[in-house]
Amino acid sequence: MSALEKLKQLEPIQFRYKKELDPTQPLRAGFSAQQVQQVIPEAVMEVDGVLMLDMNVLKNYLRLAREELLENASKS
Amino acid sequence: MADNFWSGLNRGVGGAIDWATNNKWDIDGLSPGQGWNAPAAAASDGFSFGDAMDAFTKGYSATMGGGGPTPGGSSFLNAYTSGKGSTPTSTSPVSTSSAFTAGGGTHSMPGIIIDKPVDFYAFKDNVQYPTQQGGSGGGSKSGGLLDTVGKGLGLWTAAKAAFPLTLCDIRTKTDILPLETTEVNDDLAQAAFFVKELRECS
Repeated sequence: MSALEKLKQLEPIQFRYKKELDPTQPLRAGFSAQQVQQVIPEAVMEVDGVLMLDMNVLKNYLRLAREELLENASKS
Repeated sequence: MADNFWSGLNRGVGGAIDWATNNKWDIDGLSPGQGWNAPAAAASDGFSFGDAMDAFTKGYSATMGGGGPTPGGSSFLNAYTSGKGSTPTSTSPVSTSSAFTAGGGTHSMPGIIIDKPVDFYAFKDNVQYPTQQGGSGGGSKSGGLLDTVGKGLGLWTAAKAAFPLTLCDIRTKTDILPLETTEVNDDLAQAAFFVKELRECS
């Protein structure tokens, strides 16, 4: 499955961190690590039982998707 | 010769350690900006959201017969373009108050990503650790995940903070809904909106 197809399977969400973690609780955009883990497991790391998203991996997928989009644009 | 070697080593390695610890340490004895300096972060990851947006727009136009992105997508792209120049990628997110307007709302960009060391410390300072609740010592009474998060972050060294990890565990979040808007415009938010546009236009 291509990077573009994998990215399309991610479900972007809006959320707030729990108040104990982020007292100001602004509305944020992102992903659920658990959902990302199902699609791009290598993008998620577990640190002491907490799931973290590796932005380097995600950015690499975005770069690959960009290349696919450019390739598609040049073909048509 | 030997003095020059050790002096150079001190400035190089010491400067790198100073940078990695967000100048909390001062190994090289030089102020920030002197001695070893970190490379520009934005240019090193090889990915540009601006280029991605351009590519996405071109690809979408090619696929959809030139119809262009949805009004919402266009709004986001415009908002991104206008706000890009002020995106704080290398400053302390907590102290940053820059904002831009998108979709009728004001988007502040403090960020909470554990990205570079500076972001890590900002995040760390922004976290109210369970062990700090209730005052003196005694450890956490709340336990559970938040305790684990606090413990995990506390165990991280500055070197580990150099890994751009973002706290995305669903158990740390509340008010979760499909993405519509955000008050924080960071790398993760931009990626999320990029994916949202991809999904809507496919």
